[in-house]
Amino acid sequence: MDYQNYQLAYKGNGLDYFRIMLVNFILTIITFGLYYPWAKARTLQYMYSQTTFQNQPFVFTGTGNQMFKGFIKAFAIIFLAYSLVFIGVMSNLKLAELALLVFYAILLVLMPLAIHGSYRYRFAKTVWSGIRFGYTGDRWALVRMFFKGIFFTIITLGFYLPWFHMNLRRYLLCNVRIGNARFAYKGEGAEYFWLNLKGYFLTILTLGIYSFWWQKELFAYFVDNLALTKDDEIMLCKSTATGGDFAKLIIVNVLLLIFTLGIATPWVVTRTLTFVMDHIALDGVINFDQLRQDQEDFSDATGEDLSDFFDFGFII
Amino acid sequence: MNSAAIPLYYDGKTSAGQPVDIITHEKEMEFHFTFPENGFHVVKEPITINYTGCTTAHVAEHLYVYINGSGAEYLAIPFTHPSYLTIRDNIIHANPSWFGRLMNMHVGVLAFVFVMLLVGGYFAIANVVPWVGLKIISPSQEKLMGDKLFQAFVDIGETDSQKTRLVNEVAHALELSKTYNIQVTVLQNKEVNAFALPGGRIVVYTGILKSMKSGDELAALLAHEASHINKRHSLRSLLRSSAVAILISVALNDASGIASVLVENAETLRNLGYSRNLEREADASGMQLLLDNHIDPIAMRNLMLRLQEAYGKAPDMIAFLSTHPATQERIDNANAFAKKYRSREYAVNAVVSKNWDLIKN
Repeated sequence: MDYQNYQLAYKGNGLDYFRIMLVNFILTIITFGLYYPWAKARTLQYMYSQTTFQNQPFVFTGTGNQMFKGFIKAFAIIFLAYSLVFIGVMSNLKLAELALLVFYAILLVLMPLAIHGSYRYRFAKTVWSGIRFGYTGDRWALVRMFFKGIFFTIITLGFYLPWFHMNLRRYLLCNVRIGNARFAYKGEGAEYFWLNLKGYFLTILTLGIYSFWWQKELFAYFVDNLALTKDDEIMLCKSTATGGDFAKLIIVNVLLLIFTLGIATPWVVTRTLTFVMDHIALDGVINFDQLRQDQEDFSDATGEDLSDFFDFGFII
Repeated sequence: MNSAAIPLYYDGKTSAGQPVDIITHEKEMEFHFTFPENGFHVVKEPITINYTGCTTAHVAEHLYVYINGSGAEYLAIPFTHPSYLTIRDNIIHANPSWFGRLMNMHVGVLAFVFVMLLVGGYFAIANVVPWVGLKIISPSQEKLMGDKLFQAFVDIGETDSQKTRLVNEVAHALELSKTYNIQVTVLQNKEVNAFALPGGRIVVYTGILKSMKSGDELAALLAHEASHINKRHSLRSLLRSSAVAILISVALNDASGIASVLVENAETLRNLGYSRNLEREADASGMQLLLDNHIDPIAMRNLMLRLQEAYGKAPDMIAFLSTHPATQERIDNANAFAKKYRSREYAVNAVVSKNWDLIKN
């Protein structure tokens, strides 16, 4: 395969997304919130379909039914954990502290499990050009990584956080596949630490102005370290966004939100996604016509919904 | 037909799209393969696709029709293709959903419906939840709640046990509540203030006792606070504010942070107005209690005067933002009420006057 450039784009528009948000809000309100999983599916289906790679749209094949079932399971898990504390508090005050400790321990295990489940579901339901994505990470490896990360973060008073963050991101992204091609990420804690330290102090020194360039560096650190490999072929990613680009994006977004009292949210989201896709340059030698359907389907959305309970959004 | 307007069918097995001719029927469509495939002229049987189960996405200049849930088998139709609208409408028709129906409405209509639902939901929840809550929660449960609140937030200051006893005797000498057992605690505090907790507890600061000039004013204060308790004001506002808080968090969960901050501030202002209405109600009902106990309701006005002396005359702007209504307004209301009963004969309550002398010294 010859060397080539690849195109990534977001083609959605604010009005379409606004309409979807309104319909979702209306249906969620009149069903007292029960519509939420279907609303989420509609939103994801729209956003995926408007994202194209080589002019082929992505497809989100997850459904509201799956996410509703996951929601029920996630709710049951959270409810059980809460009941444990409640019973502890009600029976005996000494037991209450123990119950609370157990509760936090459960949450600590649930968080990586939620991320794992969310990745498995989200990627198994992501399809491009007929080829399914997949996540092949091991859930207990992630739990161990989480415990190690939290332990070191606490004893170093937070200084370990960049290492924790990069270990997590590397593990998650390196286990994402599309068909028989796999993603690779080579970000490292030390670099990430210095990048943030520099960003923090320069932002203070410049009274906040540097924050756009800090943002640019964070984005570049994510994109530039990411690659896709298939056998001995590779596709590299490169950020083309400058600090000035970020300044323009963020300032206009904030002004839009303030002057419309938040009504411009769908346009802001659209602007941001368009910006992100437009500022990732892709080149390499992978022949995407030869991708093989390698990843299995997975329909349990419990982790996806647990992540919603924790308000994780989608972590990378 | 130019080549850009040719629909492509992706079968989910090979990655390249195959050009097709489409014949649409009422319930299904047929794809005819008429073009060479892989360089060979292959005569393939046409395939029939049922509209039911198909989903669509509009991407750039194409309509994508996903034929089953896998996302792998699909058709890409250019907007310029003559069958584009027919296929789109047939699929919507074959897969009825509320989402699809609403998506066909004008965006302005949707925005209007959304706002109406929010407003309607707000009023329903702000009124229905407290109403139901007050029906469900019994006075004895209310007392438990008041006791918990008292232990957690109030019982940390220093109690004046002698004044507590004296004021309690005054409270019991008066008929203040038919449902609740009124229990007063006097706390050492210079602030000119007093408040009621749900279920029968009244907390009085020594500051307000000091500012009073007669036993009747103390009776007026107790009558005002007892009215809050009798009318279950704290429980009502607690239920209302928590119900509205839950509604706001549900409704604005996905909206931007700015909108929720604005709504929350508006809600704080709204709560202030709400509690000012409750104060007015407690004033009126307190004066009725004074009348029932043969005490001149003018004592309520005198009590207001003490508050005014303590806090000064609040400018209108501050009065609007305060939980208590403008003191002048309350004084005028009390005056108007007392005027109606000016000709009545009022007896001196022995316990009130005896204990008042002891409290004062």
